[in-house]
Amino acid sequence: MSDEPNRIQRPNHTLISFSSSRSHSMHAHFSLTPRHDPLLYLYHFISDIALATPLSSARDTLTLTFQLPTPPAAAAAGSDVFGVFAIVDKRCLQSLRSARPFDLSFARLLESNDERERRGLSQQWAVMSENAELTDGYLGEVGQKGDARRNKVGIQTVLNSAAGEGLESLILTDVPQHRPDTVAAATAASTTQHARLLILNLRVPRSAAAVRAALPLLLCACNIADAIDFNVVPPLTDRAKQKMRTARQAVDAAVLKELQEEEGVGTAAEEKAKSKRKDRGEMSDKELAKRKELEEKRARRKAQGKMKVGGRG
Amino acid sequence: MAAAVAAQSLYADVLAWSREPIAITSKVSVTPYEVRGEVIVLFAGLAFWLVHLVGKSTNRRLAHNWVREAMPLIEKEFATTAKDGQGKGELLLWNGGDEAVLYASGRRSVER
Repeated sequence: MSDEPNRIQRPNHTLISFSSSRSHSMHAHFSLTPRHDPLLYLYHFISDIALATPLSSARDTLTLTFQLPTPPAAAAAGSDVFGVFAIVDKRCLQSLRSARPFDLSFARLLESNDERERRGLSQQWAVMSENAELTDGYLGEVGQKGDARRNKVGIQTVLNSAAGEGLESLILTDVPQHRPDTVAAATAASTTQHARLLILNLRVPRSAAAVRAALPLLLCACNIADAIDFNVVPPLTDRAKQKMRTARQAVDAAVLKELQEEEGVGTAAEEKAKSKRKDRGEMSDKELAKRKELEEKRARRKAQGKMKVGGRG
Repeated sequence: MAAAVAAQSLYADVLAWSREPIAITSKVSVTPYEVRGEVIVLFAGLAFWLVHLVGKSTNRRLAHNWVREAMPLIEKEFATTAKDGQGKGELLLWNGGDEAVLYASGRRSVER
């Protein structure tokens, strides 16, 4: 540990420093190309060629994650729905779907180019939304009706500017990234309220000028957080919430059933093996008992023989 | 005990011989060709080390570059931002040479 109070130096490769105990408001996570490890770089290079991935798995990305507040009423209800909504650069759509296979499975890809353009988004972007109300909320309604909201939230203004070049995807979600992998996790996931997250996946710019050009994206994320908090993005109607909740419950039940079956097969096999072991144990117990009996008999005979010999003497 | 004494006497001659100075009677010369393996390993290690240093500094430069430019905006938006011990520069938590995290906290509309 170094002399500075809020800096921890670990040997060789890690430096941790901190200034606040609040560690989950907004965090920027840099995931850079492993330039420092030529072997790892080579591994990524070969695996990308072998798997024919459209985007390199070892690229410079920056993920900004904002944890949005859950309204107290919604938190108390315990089953409030926030919705899954994403705006994705089409070039990154496949890699994003494989990176977030569970939450994005709830969102449907908006296929109509015309509709997207009438909401002010260019061809570069793909929109994924769990419900049409979410699309209207964040991108404004189709046509002039939605212009006022579009101007207020300002997503299109930023994405259609030079800053948009730095964005891979913008995701709003309250569903875990990956499917639960155990029955306990699936049961907990279906009953607990998940954190509402606003996630921006950015390309890390090389130059200072490019960084400055991409900064409106950070401002846009703050604006979206404010727009949600101040109800500029209108809250979902009960009907939409009910629809989404029903769909999620169906998925949760299916996942739970699948996991129970998987674990059931596992436990059945385990029980079988256990019973086999038990049988073996019983067999050996029986054998031991037989052996013990035989030894006792032998000992008794010997003792009888000695007594007879002694009697003669 | 007896076995240990026997082993000592067994190796005593060999040990005594090994302590004797070896007289080199012919001229000793090592050609570069004979140590080519060692040279290759040495240069490969040096090259790896250089690539590691350059790659690590490139990654650090990229991350610090972004943080330096974004910090004024982050400071404007958030009450608490990353700072080092003297209140200068940025706070980045490095995990290896290719991963870093920056925290900021204390903003309306963002959970604390």
